Amino acid sequence: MFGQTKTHNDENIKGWLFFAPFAILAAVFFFIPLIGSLLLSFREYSLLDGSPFTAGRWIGIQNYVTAFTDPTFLKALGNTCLYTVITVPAKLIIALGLALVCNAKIVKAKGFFRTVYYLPTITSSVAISIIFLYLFKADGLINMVLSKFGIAEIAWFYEPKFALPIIMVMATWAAVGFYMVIFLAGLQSIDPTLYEAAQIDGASEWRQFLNVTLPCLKPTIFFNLVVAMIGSFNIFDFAYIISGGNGGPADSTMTIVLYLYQNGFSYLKMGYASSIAFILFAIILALTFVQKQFFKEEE
Amino acid sequence: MQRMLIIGAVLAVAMMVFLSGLGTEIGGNKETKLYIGCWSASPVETDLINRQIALFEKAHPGVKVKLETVTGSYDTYIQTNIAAGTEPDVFYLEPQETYVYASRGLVLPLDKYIPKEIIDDFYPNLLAAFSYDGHVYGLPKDFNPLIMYYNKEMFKTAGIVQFPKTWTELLAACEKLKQAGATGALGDSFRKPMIVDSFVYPYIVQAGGQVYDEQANKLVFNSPESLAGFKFFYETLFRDKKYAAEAKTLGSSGGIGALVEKKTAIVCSGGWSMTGLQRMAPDWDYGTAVLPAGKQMGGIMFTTAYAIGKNSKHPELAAELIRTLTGPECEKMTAAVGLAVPPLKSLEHFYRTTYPRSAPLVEMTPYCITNTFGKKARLVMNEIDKVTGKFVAAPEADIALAVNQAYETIKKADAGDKEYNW
Amino acid sequence: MNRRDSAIRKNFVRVCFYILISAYALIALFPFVWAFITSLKPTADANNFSIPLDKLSFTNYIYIMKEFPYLRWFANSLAISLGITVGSIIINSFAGYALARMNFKGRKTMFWLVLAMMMVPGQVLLVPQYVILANLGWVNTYQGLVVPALFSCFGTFMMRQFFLSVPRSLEEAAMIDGAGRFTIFWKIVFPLAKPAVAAQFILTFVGVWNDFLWPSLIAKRQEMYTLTVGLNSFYSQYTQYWDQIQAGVMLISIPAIAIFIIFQKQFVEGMTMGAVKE
Repeated sequence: MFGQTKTHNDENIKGWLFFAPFAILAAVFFFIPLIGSLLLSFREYSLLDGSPFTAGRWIGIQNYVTAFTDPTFLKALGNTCLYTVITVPAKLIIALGLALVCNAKIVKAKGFFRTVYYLPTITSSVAISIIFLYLFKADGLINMVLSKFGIAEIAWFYEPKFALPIIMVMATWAAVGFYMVIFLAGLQSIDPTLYEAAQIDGASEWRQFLNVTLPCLKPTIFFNLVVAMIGSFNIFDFAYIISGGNGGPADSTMTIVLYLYQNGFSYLKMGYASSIAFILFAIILALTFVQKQFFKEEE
Repeated sequence: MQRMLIIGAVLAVAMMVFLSGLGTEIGGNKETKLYIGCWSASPVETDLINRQIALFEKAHPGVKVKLETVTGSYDTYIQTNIAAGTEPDVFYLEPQETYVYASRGLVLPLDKYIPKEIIDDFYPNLLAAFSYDGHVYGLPKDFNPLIMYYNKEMFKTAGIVQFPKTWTELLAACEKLKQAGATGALGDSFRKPMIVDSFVYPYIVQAGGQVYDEQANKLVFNSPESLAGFKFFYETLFRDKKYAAEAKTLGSSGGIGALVEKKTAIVCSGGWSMTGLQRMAPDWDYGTAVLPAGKQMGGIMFTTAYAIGKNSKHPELAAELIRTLTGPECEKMTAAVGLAVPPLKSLEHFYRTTYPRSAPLVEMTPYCITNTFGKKARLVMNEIDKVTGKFVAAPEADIALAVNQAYETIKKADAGDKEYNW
Repeated sequence: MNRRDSAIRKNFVRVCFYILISAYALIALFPFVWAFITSLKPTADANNFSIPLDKLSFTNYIYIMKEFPYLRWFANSLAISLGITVGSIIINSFAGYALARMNFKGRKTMFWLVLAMMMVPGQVLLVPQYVILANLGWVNTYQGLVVPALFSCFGTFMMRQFFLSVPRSLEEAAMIDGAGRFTIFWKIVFPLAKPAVAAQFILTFVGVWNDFLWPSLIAKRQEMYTLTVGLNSFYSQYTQYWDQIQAGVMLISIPAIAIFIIFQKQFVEGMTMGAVKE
């Protein structure tokens, strides 16, 4: 009896010892910032105020109210939503298409194509932005090709109507490989007997896709959808580098995280930045939840 | 595998220890290091400041000055650094930031370290841009008013003898230039989509308006006079295709290059364009002139100052560095490079006689405002920038409406702070 | 339908498929190829579309190495990526094992906390994290770049899932032999996690190597820059010198691409581990 309590205690202590490094780091760099961020979002505080942020003026939900009447934030929210609505399906559909083709039995050298498609994904966003800035510059390759079709030179990154779409193209190009590899793995894990059974039933290839592939791929699609969605809402690097940090021209490349960053570190409004952070968090949480419900219901 | 991981960890830590030690070892720890924070500039400008620094280092053995070039948002860099106590000893300060830093005591008052007679040699309207509460927080390193550049040959062909003194005359001249075959008279700063935002300010002043009324602490950029300035700039000069050259006729060299290539006859720009012209067409004879007057003379000048961060460990030495960098010897080097004008009154005569073509820059000075728009100057500038954005996106936009929207946005943002009188 | 028809049809489909995936491969590769070619050109030719074969050289690469502390940035990136990767693997593995196998008080709560933490986007914490680092005096230091990233909820979760799949009998046998918990974990269970560790290693390493937001906030002085921050800074200063900029792009991309090609198998396994099983 005594011995048992001892080993039990021992196990308890050792368990915590194993878990401690993680717990301490998470406390200092996750929970304290999280609570701090929440408290900050109800205050007025700037990075330059020095004193602990609890000295900032308490202004209740004012920051949240401001956000929803702030045209720049609304523009950033709109841009981010538009970016998500367009790039998420684009990334997933292209990725799924490529994965299906690559997975076909008649295609050889799958590994080669997988590697090539994956290259943009492991390249840093800074490098990708610079490569695209070069391709799309005023006297760059894209304009040269377009001029062959009689299209006049376009200042891609200076015109509000083009800047965001280019970022979308760039982001899609950079991400397709990632989702493609995951789709490919999902496809390869589908039990081949299911297809055999379908073939015996005389199902066409389209039918097989609808009745076997898609249902089996559901968890993979869900995973990709969640990852793509969260990634899209958090877009920062491309917008920051392409616009030189200001979200221009005319806020056309302003995103939620870029605006958060500007408010926190440049406009001296850390409280406001924190409230933007929590609005972003709420949106992501809600979307994930809705998706989960949606996928559950169908099962 | 465990061994590999542990070796990896040890290797990483060893590398970091070695790398962080690398900087301090070299100087034998005896050198005093001073950092200067600046934004990225052209190689020519970097070369200039390096030569100026060399001058200081020569006079102060044992002191090493390091240039810290900031890329991305400069404000973010300075603010996040100040919060962490790691800002450079000396850094660039812009007029619109003076209040933000000075009122919080984040930059040191320079009049404590530098004698009054030295400070008094700077142009007063430049010093005012860096003053707060009776103290000077930054000494201007140089400045740059906007002036006009024009192609003399094209003017001659069109039969125009002298550069017009007023906008009425200038617009008439544009007609003549066009008849003489110029594709567009006004280039660069007037063309889509490269309108530089702050280029609208001169027109506001010329129309008898102001952006900010300092006495009353009021923003007045939507007053009828100021609006007339906005309208003239956006509607007459830009929207009306009669005067401004189309982007495509200017080609990709754009800007000042279009002047050389005769694609445009007139370009509005700062002193920096002279070095560009020098490079593109070394012996070319072009004309420079002060901005024409509207109701009155008016212009904008851009300026940057050196300030000392509050966490600097060597404020006296930093002040000494600023004194050298803005002293006559260094300012003569600035003038020689030609990117900007020396801010010292005592150098005015020298500058005008040595660089006659730059004379309009100095002549513009008394009529110029700086980006000094009260306590939320940056917000004001951002909002006025957005007017440009809206107009570029839809040239048919109602300018008065856009300007008033900008005004309301600032008013709303100020609701809790009451930093302006409304 | 006879056999020949079906064979023709099959060949036709095959050709179509190859055209399709080759076309996309071209799209994926072309920007790199173009950037690489540009990096070999002299500045005078960087803005035109010719490829002057006789003038191509690696001069730009040498220039960057000389003019910029590229090697320092490379060393910084390497040290930080390695430090974070190794450190977080060890920390996550211990935590994951504790969650999978050790009976400590509050284990369930901790597990749910880890799951909940995965839902919070890192950007939410950006502002206060910086304030904390500023107060610790860790801005512009290696510890500031490394320590906050030394734990990962996803990594811990992944390791826990892996350790759950290790048969208990192995541990029980060792316990009878009198081995302590630490020995059991470190000597017996942990080595089995090689695939999971390898996958995490590459995912984390490439992630940190390419990270931009955090180092751009923390690395204030040139000598502390990582490659991504350095490249962005280089780009902003050399806006017109596209040949040199593209050489910089190549110099930062090649190490990540090399690592990927060498460890491709583990990489793909690691990525799919979370996705397909869930």
